[in-house]
Amino acid sequence: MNFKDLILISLRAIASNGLRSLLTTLGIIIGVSSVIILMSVGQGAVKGVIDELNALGTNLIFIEPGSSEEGGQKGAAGSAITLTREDGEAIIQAQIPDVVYVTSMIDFGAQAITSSNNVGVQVVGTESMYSIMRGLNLSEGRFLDEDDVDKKSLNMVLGHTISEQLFPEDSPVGKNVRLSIAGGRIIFNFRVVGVVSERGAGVGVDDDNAVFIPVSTLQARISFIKNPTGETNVNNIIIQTAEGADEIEIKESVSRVLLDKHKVTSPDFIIESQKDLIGAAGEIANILSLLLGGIAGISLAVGGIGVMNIMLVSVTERTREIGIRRAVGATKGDIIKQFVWEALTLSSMGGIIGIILGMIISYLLDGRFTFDEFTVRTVIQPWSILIAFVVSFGIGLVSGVYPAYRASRLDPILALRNE
Amino acid sequence: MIQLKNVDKIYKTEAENVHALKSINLDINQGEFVSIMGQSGSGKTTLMNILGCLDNPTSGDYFIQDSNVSDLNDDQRSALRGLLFGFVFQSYNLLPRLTALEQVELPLIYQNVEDRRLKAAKALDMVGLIDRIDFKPNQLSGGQQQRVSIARSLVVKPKVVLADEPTGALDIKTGKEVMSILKNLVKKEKISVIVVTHESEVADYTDRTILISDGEIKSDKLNK
Repeated sequence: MNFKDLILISLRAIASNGLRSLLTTLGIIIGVSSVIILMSVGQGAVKGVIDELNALGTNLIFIEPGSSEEGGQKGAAGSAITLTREDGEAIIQAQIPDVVYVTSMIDFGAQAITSSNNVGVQVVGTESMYSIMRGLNLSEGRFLDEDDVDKKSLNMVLGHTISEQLFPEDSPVGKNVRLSIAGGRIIFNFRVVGVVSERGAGVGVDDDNAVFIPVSTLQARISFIKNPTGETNVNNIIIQTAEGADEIEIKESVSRVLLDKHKVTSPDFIIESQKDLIGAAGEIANILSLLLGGIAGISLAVGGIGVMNIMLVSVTERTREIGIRRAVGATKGDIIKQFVWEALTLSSMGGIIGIILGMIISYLLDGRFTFDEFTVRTVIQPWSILIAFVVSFGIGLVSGVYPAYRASRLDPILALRNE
Repeated sequence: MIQLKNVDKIYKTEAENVHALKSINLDINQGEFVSIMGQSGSGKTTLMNILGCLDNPTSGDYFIQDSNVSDLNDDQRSALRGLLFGFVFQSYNLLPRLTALEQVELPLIYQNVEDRRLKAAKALDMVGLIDRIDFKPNQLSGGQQQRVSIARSLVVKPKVVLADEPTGALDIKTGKEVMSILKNLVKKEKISVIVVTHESEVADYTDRTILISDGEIKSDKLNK
C-alpha cells in the first residue's frame, strides 16, 4: 500500500463520518488553541515586565545600600545607610572604561503645597543626567541642569500626575511650589522649571508622582540626610554604560572602588544591572507561561483520549471492512498503518485548526482587557505553535496505535462473518 | 495445482475440541470448476478458509503449485491471498462507501500494481458492468453487487476463485446468471473456481462435486 492510498483511505473514512470526526477533533482544537492562548498570555506578561524594565532607560546598573546587620539579624535591603553621593563621585573619578554617566539620587516622601492644593509627592533629589539616563521627556520647560546642581538652586521639575493635581488649569512653569518635609518641620519654596511627560506606572520610581530637585540643594539645606562622616546619604547610584559594554567587568570595577572607599572586605551595597533584573523577571514569567501551558496541556490530553475512544469505536464498527481488506490481501501491517494514519490525520487536523484558532484569539485578546492596572497582552511564541503541533501529532500516534493493533488482531474469518 | 494431504483442522474451545476436518485428501487442477457441497456445520466453510489461506490446517500438508503452504505466517498468507486467490461471498462483502470501480481496485492497492483503474475497469467489463463503474453498492441490485465482487476477485488475475454460497442471497434467475459468469471464467481464463454451497442446483453447474459431511469427504465425482 503506498502513501497516497493511505492518505486517501483515511481522509475518506474521516469525511464519511463528518460530524463525529468534527466533534472528536474539537477536543484537540480546544486543547491546542488553549495551549497557544495561555502561553501567549504568559509571554505577554513577560514582555510587559521587560518593557517596564527597559522603560527605566537602557544599559543601566543600579547600586543600592546593602542590608544592615544588627545583633545577627539581617535587615531588608536599603536598611543600612551606606551609600553616599561621594561614592558616586568616587566612581566617576575612578574613570572606569565604558561608564558613560553616573548619577546619585535621594528619594523620600513630602507634601507639595500651592495656594490652592496640597498633595503627597515622592521627592527625588538628583542631577541633570537623570533625565537622560531614564529617558524622560519633558512636556513643558526643561529638566534640572548642571547649573541648578552647581548653584544648589531652588528649581523643581514636576511629574505628570503631580503637575495635573497641583495646577489643573494653567501651566505650572514659573509658579511656586512649597515642599513640606518631615511633617512640616522643614519647608522650602521651589520654582517650577519643567514638567515631565506621562510615563505610566513602572518599576522603581514612579516618575509621574515625583518631583525632581537638585541633589546638591538637599545636601546643603537638610542636615538630617548627612551621615556622621559629613557625606550625603543617597538611596541609589545609577550608572549608565556604553552599548555593548562588559557589564560584569564594570560591576566588578565599581565594586572594588566602593569596597576601597568604604574600607570593608565584603560589600555593604548591592549592584544589579538592568539585564540582571530583566533576566530574573523573564525567568519568573517563563515559569508562569509554562504553568499556564501545562494546564492547557491537560485539556489537550483529554482531547487525545477522545481520539482514542473514537478510533476504538471505529475499529469495532468496521470489523467487516477489516475482514474484507484482509481477504483481498492486506497484511496486519497494512491495517495498522490505515488506522494509525487515520488517528494521526484526525488529531493533526485538530492541531492545525487549533493553532489557527489559538493565533486568532490571541491576536484579538491583545490589549483588549484591563484588570486593575494590568492590561492583558499576548505574544504568540513560534515555539508554542511548534510544540502544540508536535504534541497533537504525538497524541494521534499514541491514541491510534492501540486501536490499530486491535484492528490488526482481528481474525479475518470472524471479521468477514461479522454482521 | 492444489493438493491437500491428510489435512486435519481442530478448533480448540474451552469445553471441547471440535474436529472440523478429518484427514482430507484433495486434488484440484487448473481450470477446474468444482463445487463443495454439504450441510451447515459439515466443515465446508472451514475447508474453504484453508484453501483460501485464511487459515492454516492443524496438521497435514497443503501444496499450491507444488510448494507447501500449510505453515505460512500471517503476512505470507496475506500476500498469497492477494496474489493467487479471489474471494466471492454470499453477502457480497463490498465496502459501502466505495464505487464499483474502487471496490475492484481494492486488492490492487495492497499489491502496489500500476494502472489500477484500467485493470479494474477491464475486470468490471468481464462481468458486464462497465456502465456501472461509478455506482455505489446501495445503487446496485443484489446480482450486480455479486458481479462487482466477482470482478474484484478477478482483478488480480488469480489462479483460484473461491465462492462461498455465491447465490445464497439471490433469486433463482440472478443466481443462474452469476453461476454462468463463473462458468465462463473457467472456460476463458483457465481459472479454477471452487464453489461452496448446500444447493444441488448450484452444484449442478460445476464439473465436479465434492460432498462433505461431518468433516469428511463422502463422495467426489464428476458431473455429467
